[in-house]
Amino acid sequence: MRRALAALVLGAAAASIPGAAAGGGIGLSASPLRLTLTGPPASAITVRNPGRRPLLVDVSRAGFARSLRGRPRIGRARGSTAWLRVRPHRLRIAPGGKATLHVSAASPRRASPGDHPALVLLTTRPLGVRRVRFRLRVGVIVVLHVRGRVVRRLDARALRVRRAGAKRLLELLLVNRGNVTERLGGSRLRLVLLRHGRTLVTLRPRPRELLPRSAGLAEFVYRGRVRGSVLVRVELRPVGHERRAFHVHL
Amino acid sequence: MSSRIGGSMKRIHLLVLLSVLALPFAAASASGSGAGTLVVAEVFAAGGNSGAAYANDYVELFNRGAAAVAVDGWTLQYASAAGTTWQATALSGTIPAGGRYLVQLASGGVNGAGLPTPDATGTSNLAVTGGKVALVDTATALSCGTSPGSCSAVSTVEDLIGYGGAADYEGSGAAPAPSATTALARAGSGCTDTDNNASDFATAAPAPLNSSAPAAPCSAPPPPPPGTSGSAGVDVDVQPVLSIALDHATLSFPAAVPGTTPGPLPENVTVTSNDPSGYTLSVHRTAFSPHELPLGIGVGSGGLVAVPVAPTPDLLLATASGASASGGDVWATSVGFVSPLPVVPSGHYTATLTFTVIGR
Repeated sequence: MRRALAALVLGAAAASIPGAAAGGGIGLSASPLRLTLTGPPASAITVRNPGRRPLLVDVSRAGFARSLRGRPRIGRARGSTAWLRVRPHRLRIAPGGKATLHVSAASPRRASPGDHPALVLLTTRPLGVRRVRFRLRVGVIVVLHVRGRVVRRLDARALRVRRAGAKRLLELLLVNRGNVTERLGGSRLRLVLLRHGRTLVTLRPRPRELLPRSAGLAEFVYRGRVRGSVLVRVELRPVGHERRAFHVHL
Repeated sequence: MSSRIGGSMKRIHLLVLLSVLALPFAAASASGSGAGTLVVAEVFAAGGNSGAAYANDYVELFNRGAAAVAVDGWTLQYASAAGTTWQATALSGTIPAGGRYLVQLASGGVNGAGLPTPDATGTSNLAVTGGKVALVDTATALSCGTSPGSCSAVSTVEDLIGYGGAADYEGSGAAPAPSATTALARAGSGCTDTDNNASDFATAAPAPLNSSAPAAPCSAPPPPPPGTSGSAGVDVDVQPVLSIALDHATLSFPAAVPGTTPGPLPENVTVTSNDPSGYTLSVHRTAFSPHELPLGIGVGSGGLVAVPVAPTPDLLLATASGASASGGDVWATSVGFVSPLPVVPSGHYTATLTFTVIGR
């Protein structure tokens, strides 16, 4: 299914205004698409209606998580999501108009330090009554950061190799045992492939984030020709994290 | 012949006169006022604290202008979030265009690495939760800071940052509070200055630079062609955005009878995002009323797949690992039925599809 759905048709019917709905269609836009609230926090989300029909938008909170591969997951509004305050709960936006949504957080004294992710969902009310109707929903990721001791700990648990034609996809299972969101990419994480003590190549992961107290896969693409058994050393920055090495077969 | 010589002499006199007139201006541009050009580029307030990356607080200055600025006699001043008592650190030397200047301040403990060699040293102990830092072109201590804009109105203040719970700041709000692992960094590598602390600064990993760092001037507009008489600066802040749009608000299938499969209808879903992390697009629906029907969706030339009914998790339609195309990513979908209509009573059948987009 995913392969079939990968048939992206770009630009064939692109609207002249990004996000604008063509004809009698509908559109919904939010800015920014992620927020971090720290301390006595308050922030705002600008919601726009780029379409040509008036919109009634319901605002709600939801839990937020990511799948092993980083796909967003909408969860129930519980736990730290309850600390989030959004006003108003309903927006009426004229065509081409915009509205401001105020977001704040009130974490209890016992709140554990670190990041607590949540979602603010903006959902349009369906139009019409007697047809197959459409709703649009935009999720804005809100991270509530509670001050206190920051713990950064990433554990590399397992490494496996998947074949993708001439390429090899190395998937490293990581567990974020810290209390803040880890962004994987840049020099934060890399794999060093070794054979007989000699470095074959150093690989960097595809960028993604790993929420606190969650597990996820970091993906590395190897395009070289070396095949057979290699030693893979996991290097995490800053130094001090546990070092792991795995034997894999390319 | 004589008239030609006389003409040359006049031109020489004119050149000498222009040179004499130009001298003071040249000197002024090399070492004069840094108004608007010297800015606070980075603030780290957790020096030495538990988990801190560096052992000392620091403030990094940056010359975003096109000429060197002498800071002899200037001070970097600090006051608490609500306070009006300012502690001053003397500065000296010259900061070239695109140059950095590192001011080392107090340490709150023994944790963290040492800073690069500072260009000036002070004893101010910056609070992590909030405070005010001002770059002042005199040694006179400030007395402002109880309300927004009060220090910006002082003529000797070259730049001000209020962060965390600061009572005074530039623009609409204070910069966020830093932490043990993050500093406050000015956007555009120090080049962005809209006089709004809330938007000009963001938290980032601390990266102190001193005057030995290579100069990195902010990109300047090209010089005007000969004959033009003026220029105007233009800037714009582009905000992160995530947007979704459909060509239609509803779909209406032609009348059908049980046992047949109505043909699918096209619907374009346009997603616009300037976030480099990309996005995911998914869909779910409500059950048909008054009886359930097997609705499906496909993307591009792919076949139809049943659309899950909430609260079953969404069907993933598409993912993008980067920003969308300039006009938006247009996902051509087909909405139809995955199997012949069951035997159900006649009437109008309705359901609602919800397309969801979330940044990755």
